[in-house]
Amino acid sequence: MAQAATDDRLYRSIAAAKPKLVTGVPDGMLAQTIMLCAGSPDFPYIACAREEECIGVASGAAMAGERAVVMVQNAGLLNSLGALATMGLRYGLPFVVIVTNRGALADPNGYDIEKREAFDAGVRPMARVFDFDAADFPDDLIPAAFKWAEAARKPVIIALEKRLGSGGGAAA
Amino acid sequence: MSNLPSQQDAIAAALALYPARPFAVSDIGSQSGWLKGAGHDPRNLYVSGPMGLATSIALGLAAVRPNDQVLAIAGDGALAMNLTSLATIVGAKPKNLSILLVDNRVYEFTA
Repeated sequence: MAQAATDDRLYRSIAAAKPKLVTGVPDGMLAQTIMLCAGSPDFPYIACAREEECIGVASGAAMAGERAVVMVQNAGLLNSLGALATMGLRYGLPFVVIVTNRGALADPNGYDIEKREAFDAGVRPMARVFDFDAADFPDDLIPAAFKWAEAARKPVIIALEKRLGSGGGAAA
Repeated sequence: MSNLPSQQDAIAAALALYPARPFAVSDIGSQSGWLKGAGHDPRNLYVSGPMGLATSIALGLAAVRPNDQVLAIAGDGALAMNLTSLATIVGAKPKNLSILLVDNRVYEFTA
């Protein structure tokens, strides 16, 4: 296993929110964060085979009144909209979904473009999305996201993307 | 005529194996109806979400409640829709999660 950087801003922001559980499906932009979460002594990281499972896992934790973080790519959340609607939105479960929003101007893989367009068309009308530069976001991003979700009584989506002129990295 | 127990009796028998009532998470459809029939309890969660997600929800619950027992109740059709959750559960190694697979040999109602 590759050595994860110890200075990962997204990991530190997640840890600052004191979640009881983090779950996800890998994305290259999240690799460092996932490795650090998997090694965290403070919470379990549940590596799911499919993104819809992540929504289920987070729902189970949230139904117990605990904080849960989901990390997936935009295409993965698109695969999970039924679960997001019928669990997260129906029951008002305040978990945080971190989405790598691939297909940005600075991230123009041909196979990502439609994912991004479908994310805009399918996810934004049904759930609150807050957008940030993956290389430049506030340290208190994830604690703030939980505060919003718990006040709103619904899941919140934090979309991270590579931006032109920025570091372009994941979360370091 | 089948000699198999009814779904409701099978669920009741599984719940009776625990010294204290576990959290019971049942999939949408007939499993939720039969769980309620086997005995309504505040620790029952009748999932309204996508078919098959009970095992994943139960995993999340088990992970944050390690001192409580959790029983996921899935039909054969529902579990087939989320077979990958079994691989995830094996990877997570929860010590407090069990799965009751109710195979009634038909693809029964969901409403």
